[in-house]
Amino acid sequence: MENVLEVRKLRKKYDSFELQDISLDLPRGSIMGFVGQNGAGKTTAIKLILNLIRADAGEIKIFGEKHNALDRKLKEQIGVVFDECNFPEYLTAKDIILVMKNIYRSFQVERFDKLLDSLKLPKNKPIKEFSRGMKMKLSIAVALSHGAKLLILDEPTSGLDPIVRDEVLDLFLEFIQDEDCAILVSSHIISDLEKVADYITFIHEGKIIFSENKDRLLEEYGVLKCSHHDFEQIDKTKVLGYRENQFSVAALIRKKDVPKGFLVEQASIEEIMLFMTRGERAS
Amino acid sequence: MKGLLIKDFLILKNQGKLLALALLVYSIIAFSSGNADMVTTMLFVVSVIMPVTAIAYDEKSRWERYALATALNRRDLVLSKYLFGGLCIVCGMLLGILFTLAAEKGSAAVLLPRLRMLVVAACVGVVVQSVNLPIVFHFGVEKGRIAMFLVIAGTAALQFYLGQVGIQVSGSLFSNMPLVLYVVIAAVSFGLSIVVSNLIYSKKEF
Repeated sequence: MENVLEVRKLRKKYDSFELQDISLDLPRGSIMGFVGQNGAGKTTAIKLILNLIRADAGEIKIFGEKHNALDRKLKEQIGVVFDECNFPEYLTAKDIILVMKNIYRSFQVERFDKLLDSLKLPKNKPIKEFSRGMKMKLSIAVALSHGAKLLILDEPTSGLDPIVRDEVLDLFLEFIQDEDCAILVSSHIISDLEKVADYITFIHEGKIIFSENKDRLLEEYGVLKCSHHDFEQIDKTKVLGYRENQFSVAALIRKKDVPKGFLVEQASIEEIMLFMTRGERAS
Repeated sequence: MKGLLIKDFLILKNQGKLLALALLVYSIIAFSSGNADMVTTMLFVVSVIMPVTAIAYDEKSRWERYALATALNRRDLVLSKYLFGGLCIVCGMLLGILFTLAAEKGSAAVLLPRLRMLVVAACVGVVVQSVNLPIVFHFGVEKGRIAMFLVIAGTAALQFYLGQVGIQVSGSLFSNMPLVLYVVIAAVSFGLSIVVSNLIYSKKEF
């Protein structure tokens, strides 16, 4: 499967934080959820992909072209939404049309108008009078109106109520109906990504912990629950993280490594993340 | 680039009511006194600070980060601010000329030096923008204001020092300069400033 986005061994060092050897592949026709807690490095990685900051090392390819060739033609095909609306607040949606059609050669006014209607966004109201949800919907409407093939979205659903979040997720699913398109969406709201993502890339303290097909992740990992005594019988090298209380132990383990006689429950993406980062490691 | 200019003028339009009101008040004074100095001074000041005001709006909404992720590049963002600033000054100068011609009565011999002063003021405005914009691009609007104040204070201090050591920077030296020289100085400083700003902006991280 052809990749829309390829990132290899990307590095960026700051005084108090380092992004280390970030690698990921986003195949055509898929949605990748980029997850991690606040400050894990999601936004830094996205900024590197968008050439807003310079990498210390590594390689990025978008549509097969090297990142340093991120020229106008290539950028026309990338739709971007950040965690806040970046349009000056005195402008109206009508003004945005005038601005954006002179920025993107391929800006589709009709498509934008349709999206404004379907998202119930007023055309003549200044953005400063919009709610946060309306502002995010406006940003997404712009990203969907210039024929982009790749959407890069940094926390587009944070701070939105569940109904607006659902509307936004529907837009992503509609966008991905075209199999030439792909979405990289960062979020710390795992439930959103569980709904729409085909791939999950988990970043923690500047490192990629895993970048895998979501279904494979769910198939591969399970949560084993047992007593302390039973836990002692388990090969600890197979335990990826565990939590214990007074009565029992819950451990993240690959299903293939579950010893006979033990039962495992399905692990959610959130549980996998939590066990891998906050769970204790058996020494 | 065109999209960026449209955005800046749309924001300017938002301030239009306030500007129109100020223009109305000052023009009443100009027409009743027969002296357009106050209007032209206001136009000069407003047009010089306009690109910095536009940058302040950009900073507030974090527009630059977004704009650079669209089909625009860093050079577009820098050039658009210079173009916007230049257009503001040209518009300010043309309005100033109109006000002077309409409000002040007198022979061509009286009016021509006044019109010359407006062109000189526009050139000075371009030089001020040329100094100001790289500072604002480097430090941002808030810190840029402090840096600009330091530049002005430093210039005044230098002039004072030169006076103390017996070197007089004469005002007549500038007032007797041919108009074309003002235009050349303005154009050169504008060009150099664009080069410096591009250099600053190319290294900036968003």
